[in-house]
Amino acid sequence: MVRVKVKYLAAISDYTGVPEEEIEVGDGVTLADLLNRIRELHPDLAKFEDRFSILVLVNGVNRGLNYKLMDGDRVALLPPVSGG
Amino acid sequence: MVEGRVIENDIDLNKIVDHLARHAHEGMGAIVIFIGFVKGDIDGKKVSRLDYSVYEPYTSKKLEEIASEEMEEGIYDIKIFHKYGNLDVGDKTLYIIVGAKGRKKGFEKAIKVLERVKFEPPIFKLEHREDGEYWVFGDGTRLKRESRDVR
Repeated sequence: MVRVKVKYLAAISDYTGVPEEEIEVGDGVTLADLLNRIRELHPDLAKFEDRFSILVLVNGVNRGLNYKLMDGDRVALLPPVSGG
Repeated sequence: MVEGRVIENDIDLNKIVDHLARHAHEGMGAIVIFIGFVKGDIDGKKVSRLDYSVYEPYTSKKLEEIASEEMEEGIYDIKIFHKYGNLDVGDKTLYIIVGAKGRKKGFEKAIKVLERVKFEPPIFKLEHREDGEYWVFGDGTRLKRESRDVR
């Protein structure tokens, strides 16, 4: 099994109800699979995704949805940014 | 020295400018400074506070990356400092300092850096105003927190 830490940043945490959590997935699971699991755990997230894009980073890097998760990976879901 | 990072407290601008001028490249003739601060009115609604959250160390890394990437001929230094935390109206939010050959190059570069800072680093803004709390996104779109309706 693979354990990953998932962080929900800013507006996204309003829809997940938690700022972060640890999720256990099977070996060989991709980032796309994890996102589907997150959507099952937090159905309200769809309301955000209907209107805004979410950027997903693994250990701070945009690796694409086919990335195979490794034990200890830190995944972050980011809403659109707003500097300045 | 090119620099980009998040900060919790205001910087000593005089100290930075003095240091920059005294150690300037011989070809440098201008320092352009942009300071952003929290404004008290948005679309006629009174603003009481802005909460800035960041995703470290990646926010600082991206700010540093922008500063490095924007260096070019005629630009001798770029510094970007972005505040985080709960900021009141009138509090400073962002400093961009550009050391350049001349004023035109300096102003143009400061504008370009500012546009990148608005859209690239993971910085998130929650606006507290008299009609509720709004998440603000880079293109100016606002999402009301309580009702989750887009304004």
